Amino acid sequence: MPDDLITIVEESEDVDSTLISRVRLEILWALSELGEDGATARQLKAGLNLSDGVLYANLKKLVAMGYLRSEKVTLEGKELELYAITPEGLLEWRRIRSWLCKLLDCDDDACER
Amino acid sequence: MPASDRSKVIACFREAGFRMDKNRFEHRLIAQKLIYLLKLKGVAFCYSFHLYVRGPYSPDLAREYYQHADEFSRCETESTLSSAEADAVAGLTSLFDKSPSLLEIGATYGYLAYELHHPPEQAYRTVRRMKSFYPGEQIVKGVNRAKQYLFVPADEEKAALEAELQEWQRAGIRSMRH
Repeated sequence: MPDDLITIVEESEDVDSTLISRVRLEILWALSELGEDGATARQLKAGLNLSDGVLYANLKKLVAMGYLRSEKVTLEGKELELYAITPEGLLEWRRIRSWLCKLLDCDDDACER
Repeated sequence: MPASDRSKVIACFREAGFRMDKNRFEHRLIAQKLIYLLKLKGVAFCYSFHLYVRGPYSPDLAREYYQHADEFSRCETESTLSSAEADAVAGLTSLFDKSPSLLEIGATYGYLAYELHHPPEQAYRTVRRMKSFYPGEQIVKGVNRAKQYLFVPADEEKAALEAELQEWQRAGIRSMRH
């Protein structure tokens, strides 16, 4: 057990526990470095190997929570849905990542891409 | 302040006849993949690229076109390209014709095969999975164009090609004598 039990427990209170789901974490992670450029739903679906139902249910939830924004874009004549992380989403992602790093006793810097 | 090759990027876009509008999703995709493929071809850029769900992507390059959108849309720069760099841009535009889908497929294949050194068959399978929303023919086309653009023959391949060309040349000379 690491020495920072108290910190981990205290910081866990600041973490939005509705985000602690594999799919939501993967989506936030995938979009965290793409900034305003974001990614289309089909890129997220194929890149993260998710089904339509699982992807859209989680995207919808993350948009409702204010962590993602969506817009319609056009690519080669096709209309697509683009998703990008919001400043709140990025802040929450960083908070969760930092907390997970403490929990797993890993170096936060080493977790950078 | 982070390193910048903005002038060189704009010079490449000017050479490619690509006037970038950062508000267009297609343009942002084309910009990222053009610069990545040029970098793989040996044109030096300071931006580092990693594989994301979009394919190879550089947050630093994105910062450039968001923060200096006017310079990109004017497509004007004092910077000039060397002839090798201009050739690399010409080769890329003639093969990919600034097609977003072909560039996305080709750049993703390039990252897997030439940067991560995955065997060609494995790289192709990964591209098929990651870009499964594109039709199979488009994936084959994009992968083939990337191979055509990035392929550098090994010494023994060059020697074999040279020997074959000499044989053809000799046959040509013989036929002219008759």
